[in-house]
Amino acid sequence: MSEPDDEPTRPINVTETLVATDATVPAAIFAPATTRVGWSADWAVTELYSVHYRALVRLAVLLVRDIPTAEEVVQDSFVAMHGGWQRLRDAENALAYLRQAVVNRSRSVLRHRTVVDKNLQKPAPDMPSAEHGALALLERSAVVGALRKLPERQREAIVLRYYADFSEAEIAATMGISRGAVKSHTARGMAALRADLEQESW
Amino acid sequence: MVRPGHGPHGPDGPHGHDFAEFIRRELHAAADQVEPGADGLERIREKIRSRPAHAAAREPWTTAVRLAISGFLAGLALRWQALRRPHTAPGAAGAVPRQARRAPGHARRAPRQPRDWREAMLRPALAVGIAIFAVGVILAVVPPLRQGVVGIGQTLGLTGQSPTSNSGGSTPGGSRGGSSAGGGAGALGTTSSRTSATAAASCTTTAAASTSSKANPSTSSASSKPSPKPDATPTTPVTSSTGTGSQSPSSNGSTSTSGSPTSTATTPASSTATATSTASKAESTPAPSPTGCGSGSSAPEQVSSAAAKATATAAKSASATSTPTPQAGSSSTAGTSSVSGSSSVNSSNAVTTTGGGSPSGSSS
Repeated sequence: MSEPDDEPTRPINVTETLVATDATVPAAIFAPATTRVGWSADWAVTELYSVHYRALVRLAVLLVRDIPTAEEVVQDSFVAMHGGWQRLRDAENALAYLRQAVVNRSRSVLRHRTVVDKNLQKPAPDMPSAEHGALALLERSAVVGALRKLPERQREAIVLRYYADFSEAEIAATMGISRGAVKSHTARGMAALRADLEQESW
Repeated sequence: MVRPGHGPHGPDGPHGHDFAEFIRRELHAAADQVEPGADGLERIREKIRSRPAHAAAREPWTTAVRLAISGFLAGLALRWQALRRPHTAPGAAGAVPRQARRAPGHARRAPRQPRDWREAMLRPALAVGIAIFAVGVILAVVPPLRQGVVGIGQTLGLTGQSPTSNSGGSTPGGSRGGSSAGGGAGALGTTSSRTSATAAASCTTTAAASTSSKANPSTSSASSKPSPKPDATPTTPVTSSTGTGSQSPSSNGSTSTSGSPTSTATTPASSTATATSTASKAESTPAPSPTGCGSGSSAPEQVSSAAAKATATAAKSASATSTPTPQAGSSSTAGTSSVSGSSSVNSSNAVTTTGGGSPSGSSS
């Protein structure tokens, strides 16, 4: 049985997908899940890195306010995703796992940083910290400055809602809380932001 | 610092309904300025490689084997150290007896005596022996497996058997393949075709035993040369093959013939005969050996039964008729014939070349 000539014969072959070049990455990412099942962990890391690494780092930067730390968080998340690829075996699951890992690790970083800041002697005012240069860009934004004053959950909810454009369900899944809690955190965070920005504007 | 309401977003940014949109734009504007390093993927890969659990997750069986071996070696090392360690005095400082740390209600065990390494190796040796025995039993019980092993062995050339030896036939390459120990067997006229592993185990055993015990030097030295003639083994089920065998009559009248059609005997008294045998496949044992161990012609799948059924009735087995043509110098003895030729069977179940003829020149 011969196939039509106008339709290029493209066998659904996992190997073909695996050896795809970078030009086919978006197509591979958004392809049906059946074509992605055969991804190996290394290949998944490569593909997801090329597509989502930058966005994840930016998301982490908004959470941890530090570019090197954000990169570290995202890289550790990729490593964890690579280790748990046998459970994931799918790009969509892997991406959701990455987002959740980034949020959780950012939270852990902030907690660790809080503990360290309590016990560490503060440097002299004339000594710029290591992350000062990295934060310089972010500090110019009043919104980011006000965002830093929010509690963790509210900050995460706002970042995921207004930067990552997640739905409430996705935020709930990423943060591991209910949708009602997402609504609550988002509303309280927005109210706090508004109050802070209005106070600074005056 | 860009203050909301006074920045590029306009004064009504944080106010009103579009406050959420204002927050979104601010967050995107701030985050889009961040450019991660280009070596992120390399660092991720480096972390993946340096992660110790990575190798273990990839090859769990390797880890299991490594842990098992290391555990075994650690146990051996502990035992070795226990053997080499001098026994501490009971009242030595720092030596706390193990029994002293136990609860008082526990029964006191006898102190463990250090074992010799030979004693320690008993259980592994026993395990290995049991494993070998189990493999042997399995090979003995399962015929296909045994044949497979034999085939593999033949393929690898581990045995001296020829590829066609499992049908009881003479082997082109086997020097022992059709040599009959008729002289050794005496009047039995059995064929000691040791290459025919599947042909009549009892026959082979008897022949081998008789060869070792009572073998006539003249007959036991009869060796068959490999026959390079493939046309000597017909492929039809009802075959009629003509072979030229050499015989070495023994003192008791039995012959020792080489199984291959062109085999020759090395004994001086050997007689060369050309035997023509016609064997039917149904009656796969035309070998008229008095002991029924003739392997004149046999089908591969009927070798065992043929050997069992083969009796001294040389005429009954029958459809195989060989007409040896004694050549010059052939020794013709009594009329009792003992065909001890070996049959060579090719792959198509066709049988048989009766290489041997009786000293009288007729055999069946």
